[in-house]
Amino acid sequence: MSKFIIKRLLISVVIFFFVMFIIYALEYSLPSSYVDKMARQLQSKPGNTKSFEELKADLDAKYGMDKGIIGGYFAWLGHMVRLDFGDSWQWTDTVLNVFKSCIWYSFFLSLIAFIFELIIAIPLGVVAARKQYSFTDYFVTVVAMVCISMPTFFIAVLLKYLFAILPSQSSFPEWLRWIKLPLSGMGSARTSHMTSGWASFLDLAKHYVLPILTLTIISIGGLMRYTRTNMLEVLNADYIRTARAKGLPEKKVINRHAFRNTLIPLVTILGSSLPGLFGGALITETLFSFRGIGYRSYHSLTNGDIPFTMFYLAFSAILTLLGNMIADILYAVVDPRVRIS
Amino acid sequence: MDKMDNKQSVQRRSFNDVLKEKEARQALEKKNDDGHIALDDAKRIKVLSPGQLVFKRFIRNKLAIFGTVVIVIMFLFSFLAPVFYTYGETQTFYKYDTQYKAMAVATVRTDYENFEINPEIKVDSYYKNNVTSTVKKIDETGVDYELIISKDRKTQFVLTKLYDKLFSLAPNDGTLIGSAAANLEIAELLTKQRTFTYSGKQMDEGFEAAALEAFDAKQDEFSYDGVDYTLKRVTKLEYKIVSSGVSVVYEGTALGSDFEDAVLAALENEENSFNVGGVDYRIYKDKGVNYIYSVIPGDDAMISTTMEYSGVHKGDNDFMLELYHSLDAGTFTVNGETYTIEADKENGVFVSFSVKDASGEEVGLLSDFVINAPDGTDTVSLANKEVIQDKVLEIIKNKMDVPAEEEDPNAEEPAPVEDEEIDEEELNPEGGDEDSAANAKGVPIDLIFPKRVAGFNGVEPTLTQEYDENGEPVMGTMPGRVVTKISTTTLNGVTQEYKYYYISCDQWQWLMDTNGRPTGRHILGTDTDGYDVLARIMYGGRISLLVGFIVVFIETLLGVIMGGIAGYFGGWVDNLIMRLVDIFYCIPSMPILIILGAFMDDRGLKPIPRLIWMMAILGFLGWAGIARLVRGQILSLREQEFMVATEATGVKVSRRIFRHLIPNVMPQLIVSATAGLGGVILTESTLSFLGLGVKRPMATWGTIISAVTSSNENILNFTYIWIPVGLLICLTVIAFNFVGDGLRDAFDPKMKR
Repeated sequence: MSKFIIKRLLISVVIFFFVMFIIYALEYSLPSSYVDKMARQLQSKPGNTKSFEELKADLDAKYGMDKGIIGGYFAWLGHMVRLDFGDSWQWTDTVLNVFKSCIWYSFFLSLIAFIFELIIAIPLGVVAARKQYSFTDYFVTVVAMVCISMPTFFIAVLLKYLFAILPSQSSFPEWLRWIKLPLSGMGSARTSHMTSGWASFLDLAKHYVLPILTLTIISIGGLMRYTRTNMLEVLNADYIRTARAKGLPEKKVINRHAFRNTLIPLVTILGSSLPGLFGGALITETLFSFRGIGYRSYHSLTNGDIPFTMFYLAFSAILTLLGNMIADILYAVVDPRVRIS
Repeated sequence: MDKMDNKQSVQRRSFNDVLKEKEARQALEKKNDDGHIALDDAKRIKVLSPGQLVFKRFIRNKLAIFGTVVIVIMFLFSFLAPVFYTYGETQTFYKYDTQYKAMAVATVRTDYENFEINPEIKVDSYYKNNVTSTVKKIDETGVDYELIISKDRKTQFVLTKLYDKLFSLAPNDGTLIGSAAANLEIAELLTKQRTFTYSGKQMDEGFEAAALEAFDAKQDEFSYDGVDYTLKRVTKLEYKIVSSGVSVVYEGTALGSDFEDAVLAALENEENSFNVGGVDYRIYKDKGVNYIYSVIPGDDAMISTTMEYSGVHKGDNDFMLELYHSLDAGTFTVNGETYTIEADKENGVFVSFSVKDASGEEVGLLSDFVINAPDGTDTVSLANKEVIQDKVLEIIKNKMDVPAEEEDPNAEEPAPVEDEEIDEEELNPEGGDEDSAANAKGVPIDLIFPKRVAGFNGVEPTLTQEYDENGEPVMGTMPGRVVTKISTTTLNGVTQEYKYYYISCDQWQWLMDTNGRPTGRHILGTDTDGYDVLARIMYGGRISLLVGFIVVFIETLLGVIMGGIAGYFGGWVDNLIMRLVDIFYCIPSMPILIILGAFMDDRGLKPIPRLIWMMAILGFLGWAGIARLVRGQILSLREQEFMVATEATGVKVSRRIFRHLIPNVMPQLIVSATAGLGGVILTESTLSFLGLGVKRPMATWGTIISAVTSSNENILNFTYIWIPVGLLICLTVIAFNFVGDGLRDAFDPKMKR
């Protein structure tokens, strides 16, 4: 087992090396508009005696843009191994400080959405499989498909409309006002006046609701379908027929024999998505101005903040690789039939 | 060979016979068919080809049929419907609508403005520049006219006060008569040298002799040539010779004693004007010398006034001249027509004369309360000017100024979505009616306009004037507002404050039809650029579907090539390609797309190259999954008997791949491509929504939604756009997913779940 893990780890490191190389080459080849912009700003400052080219060369040297792709990449790798990702240009702080300041917001956002996803999707998937071709089955299938097919931004706009914009209209019925939620951001303008920790916590929680709802909606469809598919497969298996044949109550058949076996692929796929909880939700956080890692990354990506972008992409790549590895390992752990070779 | 051919032909013939017999038997059976089917009847078993089987299984799936129907409708809607729907993707629409905007700027003018009414007389700018100060002098001294004298005193202009705040400037036909002095100093006598130093004109020898004679005789006075002189002692050696009485030094001919007596009288009384023989004279003292000018005003060259005339005959010099000169008289005649002038308002604030023609109808307005359109042109109707005059007079008298708010240039810029930090308090609970918000400021005023109606006439709206039964235009009122703006200007250290009254009201305008509500003309209204929304949804669907298909095609092509090579050749090639697949699997594609989208923004790429690049990048990032699928399929197929057979019979490699392997991978490919289409459409619309994919003015469903959800107000007002378009995206993706599921189940019933 440990041999298998080590082998997978080594392969992952190699893949990571090449993935980051491709990304670095891409970032390097793009004209670093931010450096240009900064050089232009410095040039227009009073007391400047250097030309634009000289300033740009200085900045390039400062940010390691002058070493060529290969040299620059290895320099970046060297820094990365020592967890030195440099200063973020966009957020005027070190990359790691920015990361530390926002990662937990993102993590809890993703975690809560993940828990909701489990609570909603798995039971519905099981029910749909148990009553295949029934109305429930069709209903669950269609709902799952709608959730999969909705663009994130549409859900976000729809939720904003329903829960933030409509309730602030004067024509909105008074008795329903309580559903009103903050539109975006992470704290009300009044946060500074909140003396009690409970009030500010409640305020923060309110800001969490819509992003969580969005993330839950876009993710439950896939898991529902996956659960249903695997449950169906298990229900058609011989041992279920045997269990029924020997007269076990249906409840026992489903809960003990069928569901436990459905858990094998489920645990695998859920385990593999655990690292992703740290990755934030790029689009959703941006749409709600939720100051998590996804929001920060989106603005870094669009504004040419190379240090933070490189960090975020490396982080994402590591999370993906980690997820794949966990899936492989869990599969072997959960299902003894899978031989490790 | 012959034998074989024979044998074959024999066989064929006999086979044909057998078939014919069989058909005949079947025909007979059919004839005799009484509804009974024998147990071993061939009709009982219907053999379907694999394709038919797939089709049959597919159409049994309700959801798949639903998906197919939706996709067909989408295609018809976005590819066929635009052919019949006449509006274009980026066709801008206009309409007549009332727009609340400034229609006039009014102010009480205090500056004098010069109107040249006789182009034949050139007025040097020196005189024009002196008009204002001379006007001041006239107003202070209360005289009728004043001369503006050139620096060399040779030419003069007469500025005559015609009326309060109305002056005419005419060239002086009179001349500089000369200089006059009472007790004028003529010369200095140096007694020792006995020489004369003249301060003015040189006198002849007789004068000098007479002077010396008087000096020698110790006389104080002497007379020469009829003029009396006095010797005045300054020092012992120096005497001054002063002419006693008045003496005039003429520039031209002498004018005689009557004139000189008048001059003397004026000088002694310290008056500066006198009249001799019907001619006015003016005395101007300059550096101790009294210069006398005769004043005979010529034709008016210029009118200088704070008032401005508007109405008929504006610019007609004869008319204007008569008008200006007849303000006192109250009536004048030009070209045989008689006009009357009525002083309307002399209220201490401004003066106003209305000019009426013989029928009593008002034809013009002369006033120092100047009302112009905001662009400075005189286009405000006389009727409205009267209304505005009355209202502003009321405002001034009651002191009910409403100061205009400073315009904020950034006020209309909608906040970008990502920077929104809006809390519930900031939301506009009313939804915001711009017109009423703008109208709320200012003093209300009812302006008079010809009544017009915007009618929808087929394709374009028309603005029609309403006429009554006599063919006269019907007038109506428009509610407006007056606000006050104060502007200060500093010129030569003198700061002046000008108070302007801005009059705004709803006006008919030929406007871009932006953000229009749904009408019969535009079923879904128009968007922020005046494009027809329904047309854009159609064209947007075109782009979204095209992007989906092209990207999936690129993905599949790359995937099949890479996966095929890896699966067929195996070994190190397989290993290499599969590691590449691993790498591509691991590249976070959304961030990469965002980076490249922002980069293309930076470069300012045109919509079409952008679209092509986006499709290429999407396709390039998505091939890994298909390559993995193809490789796995080929690996398992390679071991099967039919592939062994192709190898044994020596079929070429390319033929083996393309005729035997690929067709067997086709079902999986079709399934994954169909399912992938939905994903690509989602990615494209998300990127376009974020402004990083397809850009306006090119329409896609993503950009249509992003255009109407840029602010909360828009989200609220344009639900009829973004909800249907969002559902359209959703429906299309669902349809592709359903079809993909249906195809998978149909191709591989064993896998049906």
